[in-house]
Amino acid sequence: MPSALVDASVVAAIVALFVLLAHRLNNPVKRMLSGFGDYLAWTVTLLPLLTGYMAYHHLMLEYTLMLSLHIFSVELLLVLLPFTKLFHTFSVFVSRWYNGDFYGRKGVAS
Amino acid sequence: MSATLAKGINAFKEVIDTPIASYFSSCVHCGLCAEACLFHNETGDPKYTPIHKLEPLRRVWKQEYTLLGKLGKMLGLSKPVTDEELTEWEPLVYDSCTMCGRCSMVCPVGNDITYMIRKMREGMSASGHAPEDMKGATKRAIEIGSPMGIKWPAVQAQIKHVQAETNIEVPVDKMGADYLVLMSSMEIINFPEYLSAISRIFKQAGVSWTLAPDAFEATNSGIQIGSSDLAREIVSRIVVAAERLKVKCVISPECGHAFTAIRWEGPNLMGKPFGFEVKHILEVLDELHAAGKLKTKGKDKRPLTYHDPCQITRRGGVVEQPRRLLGSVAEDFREMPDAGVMNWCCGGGGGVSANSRAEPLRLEVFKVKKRQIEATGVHTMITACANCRIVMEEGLEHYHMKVEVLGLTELLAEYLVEGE
Repeated sequence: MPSALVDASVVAAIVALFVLLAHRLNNPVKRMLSGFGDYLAWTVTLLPLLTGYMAYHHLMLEYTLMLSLHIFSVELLLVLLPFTKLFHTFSVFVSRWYNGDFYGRKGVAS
Repeated sequence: MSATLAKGINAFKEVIDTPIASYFSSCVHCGLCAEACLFHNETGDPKYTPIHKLEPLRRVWKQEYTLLGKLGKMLGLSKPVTDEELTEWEPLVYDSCTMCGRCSMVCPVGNDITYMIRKMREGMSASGHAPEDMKGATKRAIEIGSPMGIKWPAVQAQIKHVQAETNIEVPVDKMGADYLVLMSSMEIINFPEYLSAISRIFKQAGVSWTLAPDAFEATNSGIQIGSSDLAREIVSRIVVAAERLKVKCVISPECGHAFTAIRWEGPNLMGKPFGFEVKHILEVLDELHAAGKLKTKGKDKRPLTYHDPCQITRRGGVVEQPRRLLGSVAEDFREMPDAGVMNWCCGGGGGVSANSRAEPLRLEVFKVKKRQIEATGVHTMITACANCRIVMEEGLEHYHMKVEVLGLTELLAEYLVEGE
């Protein structure tokens, strides 16, 4: 993929994450539902994007240090994924399957 | 049977199955279910967010079945579920949830939140945290045979009345009939029109049917309070009668949760497939209509709308049948906004109408139904659930609305071609 496209996607993703965070903090329902796990999942999703962008553009820290932080943050994301809300990326298919089966059996489109 | 916290927590542990574990794992706290919920939508109170009503069950899942949760519990970091907390949650789980299933339709990760509430009520009732009125209704259903305390003689009186009015014999305990007809206590007490309509339609269509003195009641308080043991006992009465009379099909009446209880939960409760079919009355009428056996003449000139009962439409799959049937007798049929599988609940399903404590809230959330009806501009509303009907009649009266509510079966009987 062209670097410019990757770069733009990363910026878009970071902006989107901040919009989502603002929404989570401002919406009364979301604020009530959210706990430590939700903010942790948000943080570990943001870090690889942020450190990757900063390493590529040689911002703040020295490149190799930033790169190692970037790799570390990706590892952190992978380690935490099974134990946090991020696991929905896999369990969503199980949930959808059960829900679809439930409604499908009865002939209800959902 | 005494109810204790330990029993409740055990019930919570027992009901957490693969679907529930995957639902809790998948929930990303997006809050969309709040917007689908009647109670949140009408009050704006975040505590009515459907997934929030499951918080105690979620914590039991986390503490008992997840690695980090178990670790936290070992280190004494997690907050155990207490009696006080369940007392606080009781109104959320019972008064402000009609198990209408709208939240399950909108959840982006596909969580069947309604199913989870149904299961959570198992632990709530086992720990003694069910509303007093629902405990009473369930006790009457088990001991007397009907949540409203009706016995067979009350049905007999109605049969007599119907026979005098229609000159049609109402068959009782007829061996080998094709259909076993059930009723809800609401129909026996408030809407005798149902039995009369069924008698006339079935006579005209040449249907062989019967009532059973040991299984006339279709409602199931065990499902509403959340006690599978009691729900099984209530369903088994119908199964025993259907097998005894060797019927081919059991007809669930114009009642929402009865259909869920017999048609969808029934075989699971009994642990075996039924040897007979279970159909909702609208399915049977639609089949008769399609086969040309249910002939009607003339059309109702009044503008009509149809209220979809949640358990029959969204949770039951009977969506097109009422529309086809109404199409044959209504000249000016108008759908209300959100009609069909996304219709708003009357506010009294899932045991809420049996719970007097919930009445002020139930009347408050009826505002959405009021708006829906006003959008259609009709003064006659048809439905297919006696509970919806009584709840809506109360709501309409509360808001001084001049709208009449009728059952679809009796509307069809009004236009029935008889004596050919």
